[in-house]
Amino acid sequence: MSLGNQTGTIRWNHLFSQKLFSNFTLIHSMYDYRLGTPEGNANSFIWTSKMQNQSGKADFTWYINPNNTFKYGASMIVHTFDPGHAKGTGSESLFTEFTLPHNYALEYGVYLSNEQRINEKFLVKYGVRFSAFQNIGPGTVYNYDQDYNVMDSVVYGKRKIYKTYKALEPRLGINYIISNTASIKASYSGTVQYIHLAQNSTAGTPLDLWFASSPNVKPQKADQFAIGYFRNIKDNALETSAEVYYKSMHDVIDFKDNAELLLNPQLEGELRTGKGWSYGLELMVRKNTGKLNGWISYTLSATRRKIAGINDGRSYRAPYEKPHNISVVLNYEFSERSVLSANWVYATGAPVTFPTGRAVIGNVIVPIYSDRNAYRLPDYHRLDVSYTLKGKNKKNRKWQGEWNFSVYNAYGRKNAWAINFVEDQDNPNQTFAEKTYLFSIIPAITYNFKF
Amino acid sequence: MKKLFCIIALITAFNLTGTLVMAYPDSEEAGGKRFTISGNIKDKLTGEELIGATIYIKEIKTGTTTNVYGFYSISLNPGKYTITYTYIGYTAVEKAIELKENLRLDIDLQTREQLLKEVVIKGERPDENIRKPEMSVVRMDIKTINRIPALMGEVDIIKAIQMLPGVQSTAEGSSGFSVRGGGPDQNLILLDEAIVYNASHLLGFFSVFNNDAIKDVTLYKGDIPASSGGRLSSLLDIRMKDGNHNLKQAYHRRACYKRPHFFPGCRQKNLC
Repeated sequence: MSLGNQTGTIRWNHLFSQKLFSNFTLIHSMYDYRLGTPEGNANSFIWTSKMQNQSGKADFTWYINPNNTFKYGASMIVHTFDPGHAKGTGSESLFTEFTLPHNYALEYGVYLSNEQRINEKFLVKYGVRFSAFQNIGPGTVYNYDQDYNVMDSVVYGKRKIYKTYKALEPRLGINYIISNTASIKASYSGTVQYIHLAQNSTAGTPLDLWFASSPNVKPQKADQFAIGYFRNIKDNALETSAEVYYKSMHDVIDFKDNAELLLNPQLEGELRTGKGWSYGLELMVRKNTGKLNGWISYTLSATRRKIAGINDGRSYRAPYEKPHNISVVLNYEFSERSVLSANWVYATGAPVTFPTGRAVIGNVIVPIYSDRNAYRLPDYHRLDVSYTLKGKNKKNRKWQGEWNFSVYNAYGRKNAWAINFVEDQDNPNQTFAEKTYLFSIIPAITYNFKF
Repeated sequence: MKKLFCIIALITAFNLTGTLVMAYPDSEEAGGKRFTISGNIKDKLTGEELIGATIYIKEIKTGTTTNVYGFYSISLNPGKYTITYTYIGYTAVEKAIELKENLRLDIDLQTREQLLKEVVIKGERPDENIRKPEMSVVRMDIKTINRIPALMGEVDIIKAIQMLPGVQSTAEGSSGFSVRGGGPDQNLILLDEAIVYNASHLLGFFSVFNNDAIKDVTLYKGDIPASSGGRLSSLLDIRMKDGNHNLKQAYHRRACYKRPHFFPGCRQKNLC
């Protein structure tokens, strides 16, 4: 298996005047992904998937006066999706060559925004982004009936634009400065997403397949409201913040039970869309200076989805909902050269769907599953520690070295990565739960040098 | 316990960028009583443009910050001013000026290490987090990221941002992350303005970002600037070093597996 990202950027900055700064950028991004099995077997195959885009953008900043900074610009992206190509490898392979059709899309954005100081106490940032998305031929679109069975398909010719989506995305931020050490801020942002990812594993592998909005797949939309209190104490040595947010999501994409994602030309038939919502409280204390520095944060949150065709249309936990989350990151500087660091993380276990019973149909035992994401993995927590020792900073020395000693998962907790249910070989009536964990204690020594 | 995974091969390629910066002679500002002070702020030793450096004018208690290309501009009434230029980890520079015409002030700042002497300075204007009209935004400098202990001693920015409030790791060792309940595909990851589709490296266990080459990392968990769009939940804006203009320098790191090398002087990332 291999994957690669390639990006290239050409940029040109130009000052039209001392007050008007501009930036022109041409960008190429490519992502490809390969998955295969070794040659020499009947089932040897290699599967490749690729997507790339070319984009251009122009951004301008106009420093009107000390109270107003105005930004505007435009961008365009040309997307090319090559969702899959599979073929057998070696002479024994029984696989025939199979290619999913490419598809193409255009994405545009135009924006205006201004950061304005109304008076000593009030600062606002307001703007709007207009975005649009077009599917452009050649392409094949399948039409589905209400049970997501393919009825027919339409083939579009080259350069034929067969679907256009448009959206207005307002962005607003307000800051009310209470005193030199405290402020209240509020914000609203509307966002739209036109390309989406199909994943069959939460670890980011082995299958990542990007697909575009189309006549069958609406863009995802979100509205987020947030309000926060910011306060610095001890002469700005400690920064504290508390934020609450509420996010409402529309046309959120999820997959039906037992969805077939690999090399499926009718992937869109496996999708279900509905709404989602998320809210939470985030607390943070951060110390940037002094011998002891770092931060402590706590997040309390909930995220749910309600999608027709999933969980019988009842709301369920989103896959990454972890209500309690604590992070502690601390560094202690004994001297310029020697630093001890530690971090500890705690999170509620991720939601999972477990079998809750089984039925015997003929001679076959069929598991019966719980509601979607009705159970959780055990809570996750882990401590990492590291010590860094820098070489002496001598004037004549051309290179600098640095030793790093670290221990990942210092108390060796066997955090569950997955829990699978396995039938007992000897007694098919018995089922075992089997926990998979990735890392126990992992010590490491690294030497870095710079010359 | 099961046999978990095997790493077969890995190819990650990056072609880094040429940056062309051209500044035309300043055009004359016609009419009006205000004059403009503008310029670029750089690291004295490496010539690296400094993002988010603070320009503060004492007399009128106002200021601005440099943009992502190290450029700033501020317009003021004519008069005498004291301007302070500051940046985290760098020694502040103070300039006394008399503003009678448009001024171009390019400033080179020195790090504390470059001075080899302990100088007590304050980096960011300390109450920046109070004054800026942006929220749900976290900036991390590379020093902070480098200190976080990580798997096999290998530092990585995705792991660092997973330690922030409102950000969840999607699974152990994964470089996927969820911001305020969103999916890992709802994060716009920009590397020098180019979209990165998959931040995973080595089967998702190490991130593609070679932190030796990174200059600045900003995560927007909401309140995403209008200049960016196309993703629902967040913007992770990563800026790479421009390449060392003043000094030939190379970084090498060796851990128990291979990783890409980066030579800032030649703007090329080699494969290993």
